[in-house]
Amino acid sequence: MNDAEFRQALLVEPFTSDSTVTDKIEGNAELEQLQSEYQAFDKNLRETAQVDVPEGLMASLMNIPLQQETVDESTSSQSEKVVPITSRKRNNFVQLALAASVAFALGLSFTMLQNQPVVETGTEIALAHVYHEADYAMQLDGNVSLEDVNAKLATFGGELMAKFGRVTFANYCFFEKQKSLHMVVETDFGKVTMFITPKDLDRAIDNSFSDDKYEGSSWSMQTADLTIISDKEMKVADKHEKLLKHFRFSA
Amino acid sequence: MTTSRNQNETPSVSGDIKQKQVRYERLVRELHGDIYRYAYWLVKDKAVAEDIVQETFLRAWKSLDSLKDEKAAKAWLITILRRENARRFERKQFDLVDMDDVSLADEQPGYETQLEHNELRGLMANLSEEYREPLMLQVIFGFNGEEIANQLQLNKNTVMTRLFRARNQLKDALDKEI
Repeated sequence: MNDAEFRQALLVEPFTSDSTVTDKIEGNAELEQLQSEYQAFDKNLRETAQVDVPEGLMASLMNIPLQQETVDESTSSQSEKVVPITSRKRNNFVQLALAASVAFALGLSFTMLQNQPVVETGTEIALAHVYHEADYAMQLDGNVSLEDVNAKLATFGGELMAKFGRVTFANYCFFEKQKSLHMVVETDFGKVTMFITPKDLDRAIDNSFSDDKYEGSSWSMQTADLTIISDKEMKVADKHEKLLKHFRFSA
Repeated sequence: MTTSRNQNETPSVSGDIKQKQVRYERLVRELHGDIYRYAYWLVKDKAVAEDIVQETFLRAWKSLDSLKDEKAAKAWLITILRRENARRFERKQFDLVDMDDVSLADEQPGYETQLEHNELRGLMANLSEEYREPLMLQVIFGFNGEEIANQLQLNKNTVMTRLFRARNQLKDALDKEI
């Protein structure tokens, strides 16, 4: 390695452990000086490259799967209406299967239409989410970091001040078409569901409500509404309010 | 229906989706910052960089199943990002913003250091793309010459020469200005 090659290698990788470079430096004060100069320059380059990441970028990237789910659902429901059987090579089994799935889809939509209430209140929607997620969100035993929770809460101007329990689930969901945050938190008094919904929610949620299985409370915060729902058997409705102090909502 | 998930999902399907989502969220958490920074240095515009990063992660989500080895995630995302960037260029040539006009929020402690960073930032932005890109792979992602060569599909010697010229050019310019 001649002198020019040595300088080139050192400038490109001043922290190198390549012995052909390090051996040459060892004991040579001038080269040691050069190395530390190059190292400082390297550090400067790396620091300069670290531009700030826009606030909210992480939250919006985290939201992509949910957006896609919505897009996929709408496109798949459209494509169900047109089932092209273009190839005559398809065997009878495929055709039968397609016919069966169309019949199934039709039957299902009919049942869904029959069961669909005309208008649901925000309270009913919240409870529907809890029932719907009873086997999924409530059973998940995740451990969502405070950072992740706050990245999602930031969408609603909210912040969880310090971790007060274990957040086992935190994901965006939709109240009708309005994006909301669905969280499940293991608190001192058991697992509760929380919803953070936009302030201009089309369907209002009652301040306090219950049905056969669940009871809930809802508060209007500065930038969003917060709803807490727990199982009636836990008998903790009066403790819901205690959880508010862990959150801060500001514009 | 009011709830966002499909009522008819079987447990195994929702399990798969959940698993995919966990993998995806980990990617976002660990890499979105550096991926954004790399995009930023490629296009030198915050808003455009943000758009490219959105497109990149959207594609990543859609084809996450093709990422078999988590260790390759960084290189995989960079490849998607470079493709997205090239695609944008095919669609339209956007105006590049002069770095001096961009207010960069990256506040570093120490006035002297900050001045030097501002200076260097402008110089880095003015490097030609063939020098800037390998340099950013090195200083943002910590790639070595061989990894950069693989990522950019270049010969390793070419990469080492470009890295040297990039650093040398910056250093010369800095020394002159001091």
